[in-house]
Amino acid sequence: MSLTFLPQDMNWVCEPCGVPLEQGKVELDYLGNTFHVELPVCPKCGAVFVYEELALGRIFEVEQLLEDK
Amino acid sequence: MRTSELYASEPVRTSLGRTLRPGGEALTRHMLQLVRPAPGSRALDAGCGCGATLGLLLESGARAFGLDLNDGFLREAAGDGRAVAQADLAHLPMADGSLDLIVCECAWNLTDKERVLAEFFRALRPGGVLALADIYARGYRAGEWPVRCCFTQATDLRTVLEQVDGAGFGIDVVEDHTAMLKRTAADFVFRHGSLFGFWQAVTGDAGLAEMACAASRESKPGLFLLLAHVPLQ
Repeated sequence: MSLTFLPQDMNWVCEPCGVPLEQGKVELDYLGNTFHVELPVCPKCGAVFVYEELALGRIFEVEQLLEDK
Repeated sequence: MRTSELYASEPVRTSLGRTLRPGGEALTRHMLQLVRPAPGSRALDAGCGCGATLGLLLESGARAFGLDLNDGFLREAAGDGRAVAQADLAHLPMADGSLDLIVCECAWNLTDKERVLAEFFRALRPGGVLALADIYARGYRAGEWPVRCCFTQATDLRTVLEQVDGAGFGIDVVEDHTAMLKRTAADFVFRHGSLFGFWQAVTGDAGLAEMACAASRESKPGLFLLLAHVPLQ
C-alpha cells in the first residue's frame, strides 16, 4: 500500500511540458530500499514534485535513519 | 495500552501486518532456508503471534505448533487452523528433549530471557536447533525506554552470545539484519511524519515519545539472527 503526499496547493504545472501535475505512483529508492508513495507527477514527462516540507521532513529523516545517523 | 504489547498497537500492526516484527516474512524465509527443517520434525514457534511463521513452518513440512500469551493473536492463529496454545515461554508445557526446532522471533526480549533460554535448551533434543531473531543494542548504552517493549531489555550482541552460550547451546550462525529494522523504522517515518510521530501515536503522550526517541538515539537498535544447537551428548 502506498502513502500519498500532496502539497496543500496542487496548482503546479510542469514547466517544460506546460501540463498540470497529477497524483501518481512513485518509487523512491535509497540505499537499497524502495518506498512506494504517491506524489504530484507530470503525466507527460514523468517529472516528480517533492515539495519542501516533504523533503526536509519525512525524506530527510528517512535518509538519516538509513545512513545510521 | 499495555506497554508490554507495543507490537499489538495499531500503528505497529498497520505497518507490519501479520508478521508483527521487523524483517517480516523475508527474514523468516531466510531463517528457514538456513535451518532447513526436516519433514515431520517437531517445531515450536515460541511467541507465535498471529501464526505467520507457523504457516511457513507447516509449508516446510514440519509438525509445527505455536505458543503465545496474547489471547487475540492466538484466536487469529487458531482461526487459520493453526495448532496454538497460551503459555509462558519461561514454563514450556512440554517434555525434555521433545522438540527438534524452536523458532523465536522478536519475543525473547519480552521475557525472562535467561530462564527462557534454559527452557529452550531443556525442551530441545540433543542436536536440536534454536533459531532466534531479536533486537540488540548497537549504541554506547542500552537507553532508558519509557515503555516496556522489545527494545527495553535489548542488550549488546556480545551479551546475547554469552547468554546463549551460557545456557549450554553451541552457536552456529550469527547474522546482522539491522537493515531490515531500519527499513521498518523508515516505513514508520513515512506513515507518521517522524519517529517522534510514530511513538506519539503508539503511546499517546508527547513526553513518552520524546523519551523513546532519545533512548533510540542512545541504544541504536539493531536486529540479529542467531542459530544454535543443543550439543550431542
